[in-house]
Amino acid sequence: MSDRVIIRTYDVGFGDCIFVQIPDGQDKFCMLIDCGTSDPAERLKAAIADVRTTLPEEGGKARLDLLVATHPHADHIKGFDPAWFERFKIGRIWLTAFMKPDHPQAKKTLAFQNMAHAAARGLLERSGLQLAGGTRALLQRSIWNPGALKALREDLPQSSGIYPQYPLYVARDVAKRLKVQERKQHKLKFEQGSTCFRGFKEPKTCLRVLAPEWDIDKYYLGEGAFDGPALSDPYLLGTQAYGASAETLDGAGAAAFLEEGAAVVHPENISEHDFRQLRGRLLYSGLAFSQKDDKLKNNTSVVLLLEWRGRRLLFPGDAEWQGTGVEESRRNSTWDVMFHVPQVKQVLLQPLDFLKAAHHGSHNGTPFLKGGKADYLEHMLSAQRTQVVVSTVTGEHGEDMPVPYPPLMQALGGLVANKRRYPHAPEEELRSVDQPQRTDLEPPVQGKKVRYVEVAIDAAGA
Amino acid sequence: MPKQASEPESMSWDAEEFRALYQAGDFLPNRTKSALGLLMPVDVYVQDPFVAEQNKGVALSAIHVRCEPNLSHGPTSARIAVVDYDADSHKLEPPAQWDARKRRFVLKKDGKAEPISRQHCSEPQFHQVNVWAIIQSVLDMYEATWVLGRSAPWAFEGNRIIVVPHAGYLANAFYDRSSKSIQFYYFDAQGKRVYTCLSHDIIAHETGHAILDGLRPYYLEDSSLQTTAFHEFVADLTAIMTSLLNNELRWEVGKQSGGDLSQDTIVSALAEEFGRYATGRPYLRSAQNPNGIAAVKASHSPYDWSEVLTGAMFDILKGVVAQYMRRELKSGQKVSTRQALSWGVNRFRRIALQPLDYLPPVDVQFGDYARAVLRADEVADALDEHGFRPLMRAAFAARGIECPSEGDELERLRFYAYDIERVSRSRTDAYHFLNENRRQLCLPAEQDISVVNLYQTDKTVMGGARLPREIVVQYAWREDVELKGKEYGALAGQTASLLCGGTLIFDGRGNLLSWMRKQGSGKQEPNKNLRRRYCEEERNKGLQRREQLQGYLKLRVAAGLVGLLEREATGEINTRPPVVATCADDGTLRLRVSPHLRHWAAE
Repeated sequence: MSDRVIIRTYDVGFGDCIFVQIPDGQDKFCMLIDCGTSDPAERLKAAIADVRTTLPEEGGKARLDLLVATHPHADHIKGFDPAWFERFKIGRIWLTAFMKPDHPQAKKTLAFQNMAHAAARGLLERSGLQLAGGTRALLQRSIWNPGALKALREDLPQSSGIYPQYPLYVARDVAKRLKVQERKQHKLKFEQGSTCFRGFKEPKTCLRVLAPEWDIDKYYLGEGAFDGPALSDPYLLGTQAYGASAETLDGAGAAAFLEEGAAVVHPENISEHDFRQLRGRLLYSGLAFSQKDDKLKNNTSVVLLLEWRGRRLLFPGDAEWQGTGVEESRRNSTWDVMFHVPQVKQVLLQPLDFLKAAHHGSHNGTPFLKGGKADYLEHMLSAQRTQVVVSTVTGEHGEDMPVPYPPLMQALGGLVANKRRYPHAPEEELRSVDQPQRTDLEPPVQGKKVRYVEVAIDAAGA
Repeated sequence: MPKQASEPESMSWDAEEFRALYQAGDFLPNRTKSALGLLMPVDVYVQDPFVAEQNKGVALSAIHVRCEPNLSHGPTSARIAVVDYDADSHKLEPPAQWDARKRRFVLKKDGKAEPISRQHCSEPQFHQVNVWAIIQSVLDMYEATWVLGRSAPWAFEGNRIIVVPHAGYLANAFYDRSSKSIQFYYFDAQGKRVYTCLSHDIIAHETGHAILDGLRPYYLEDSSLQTTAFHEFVADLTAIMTSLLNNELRWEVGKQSGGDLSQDTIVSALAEEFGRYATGRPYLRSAQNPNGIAAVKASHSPYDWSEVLTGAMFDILKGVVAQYMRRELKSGQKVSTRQALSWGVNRFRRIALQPLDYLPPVDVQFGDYARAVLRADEVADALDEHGFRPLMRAAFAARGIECPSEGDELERLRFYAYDIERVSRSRTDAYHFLNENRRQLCLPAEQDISVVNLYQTDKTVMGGARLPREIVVQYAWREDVELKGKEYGALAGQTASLLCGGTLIFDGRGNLLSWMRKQGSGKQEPNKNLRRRYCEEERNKGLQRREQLQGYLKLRVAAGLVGLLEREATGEINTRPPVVATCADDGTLRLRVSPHLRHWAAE
């Protein structure tokens, strides 16, 4: 590999698995951002094996300097299986602050997520309830991945000998909340309105954490006001789980959804056929919870900005964009919150050299709709300079807005340096227009069993 | 004091005798039916628990519901089955038990079986009976001779609507054709649990949707904002109408308003409890509003639009009652407020609801309803001695709702000789009539036509006088509308349907009473000598309708309201977009508003 930043975005189906290799003096700093998929895990496993072959060997193991899990959706963390990482030695593990088990500023969010988990589990296990594929997938995204969470919080740090210092739960302002000693230990500084990791050999290299905010409840959950079609907020207010502590949550949350798995007694005054049809057309709070929970998890994504030798590379996880500003009492999206912080906005609104399109190219993953394109996107992207990669699969998501979102793909195609034409694209309207590179449509890598999009970034002025 | 559902007197009829008596019930007045036990008193909330707390005069009262021979647990009657299943708790509540000997729904507690009454307001079984009784009474109102004069069908396959009184946790209630159900949810607010199944206005509103869907199933296709708004209007009108038909409530209205309904705050304010707790407003919508078409033109909300028509009809009601208030009895005494209200409400019921039969089968607009109201009134009361029709025209005009000019366009129609008995025999016989009169009816030459409904009515007016028997022929067809261009978003390249058709109403002698139609754009009779001159104008209107549909769909797409689904799958109802487009068997799109997003949840 050359003296360039290499970003490999693996095709793992619908999910993210991004390997970044950063030249760092005579060495290379290697990080892995997310490792998950909604699809069967074969491609994910192959991707991890490929990453391992790319890493430097140290003491018989592959040295990975930093592992980041942006947020706890399965399509970002499912692959963190200790067995698959057995031959890795991980230097650092960063998780979104939201994943901190006893996080004092995420109590209510955790309560909500526990409710969603209990409700989703209940519906998935409910006998006789036939769920459409998209509905089932939505519910599954609310189910905690206990194996992956345990792996990230305990197994992987322990096997790499970095427990209990890691995992580190990161947020934009985490450096302000750590003690001096901890900041030194983790090589973090608070600069230009965000936490900056300065653990590189090259002193000018900085890995910034631009999101989430440490106070998850305040910015991303909101006060649960009844906001129009929001179906679950009143329930949120009405349940005990909302105000409960994390320790009592699971019990309180599950209590609302009792006796799951038990067969329902059939009403005697209508036919089985009619009852089955009826059950398919009722509104389940569990689904409403899952819809909200889905967005909540996305909006607690870690957003990283790598600044290296005059280059800027942005990895926004599944950050979402609403384009409605920030209100403390309301649920807010990651991009809106980032733009709300003046210093972060200033840092963001400069041309990028690389962008991993957030949220798999969905309509709300990139500031695009509601003034986003003109106000922000055109400042951040440059057709001469910016390379954008979309890690996605058509048709796996998007009940009402397809993923990836064709108008966004078309707009990005006009703003990026690495545009491609995909005549075989599943979206008819995109077959004859430029798009950024997509993991699902790129040709296989010669000589390899895995498929990925590889982007190489030279130092500025090189 | 409001009447209570008292303990039943012992009935001496055995089952067979009761059944025979029940069959004869159509010929008996209500008072006699009550005395014979053919009607049973059921305690229900007059409005809702919030209003009941605020105003003891309109808390609970007994309404009289048909005591069908085959009533059973649920309650379950011929047209309604209550299924108390909670989707969130996954529990089935025990149904209210039917005691055939007492002829009452009972609550079994501590070994005793008590007739369910207002003493049991907090029991789920009271809720079950409350919602069943109100829906039954709404259905009875529509089927009575002074409204439709026949049984009102449901729109779905089958005849029994499923009612779910505690469907789950949500601030919503809705009618869903696909599951043949009306679902009532509950929610918490300000430390209180609010049950939509206890709100008379919400129950009547949803039932109004279900009944209109049975009468005009094509209205649920999202073809225009006014059609969707019309559905809301009929639902709200149903709530207002059934409230006013409750004697105790009407007396209270009279007492508070003195007969001047512009002072009314009870029936004109819809869904007070829901409005207060779900939206923070004192009610959800109001019939006392000044809105005209101009005020809502820029709005995409069907509720904003529906308030225009509701307001217009409430103005008509006010005018009718005011007119009765000015009358004198034969004795020279002035009509009392109670009498004026009673007569006014009964008159208004005919004015507002009988015209539903006159409406076109598809794509109804407010002007169509105005025209139907006037025409139906002409048929029922040719002379209009009291001048109600100028009042109606003024009410519509004040809101910007187009009314047809006076005059009879029906006279230009010259059908070939026909036998109305033959026409009314079957849909195919009715089709032959339409086919033979294509030119007169300006039906496109190449178009196959469906007779979508054929029925007869037996209506009366106040005083019991019978109206002419009506034979109603509804016909419809679809025309393809290509959706070309980026403005159609995900729908681009698909084919939508322009719904066209008409309603012809004949009397028993075959005289044409009404013809209301939605024109198509297909080519007319090719032979100029045979083509009717007015058909060119009809075709132009059809072309205009086609353009309007295309414009409407573009607006819906631009507003981000439309989602394309390959097929409707179970379990997807929660995650659907507001307007769902699915592909029908013929390859054209069908657009429907997602039922749970139609209303009640604040927007």
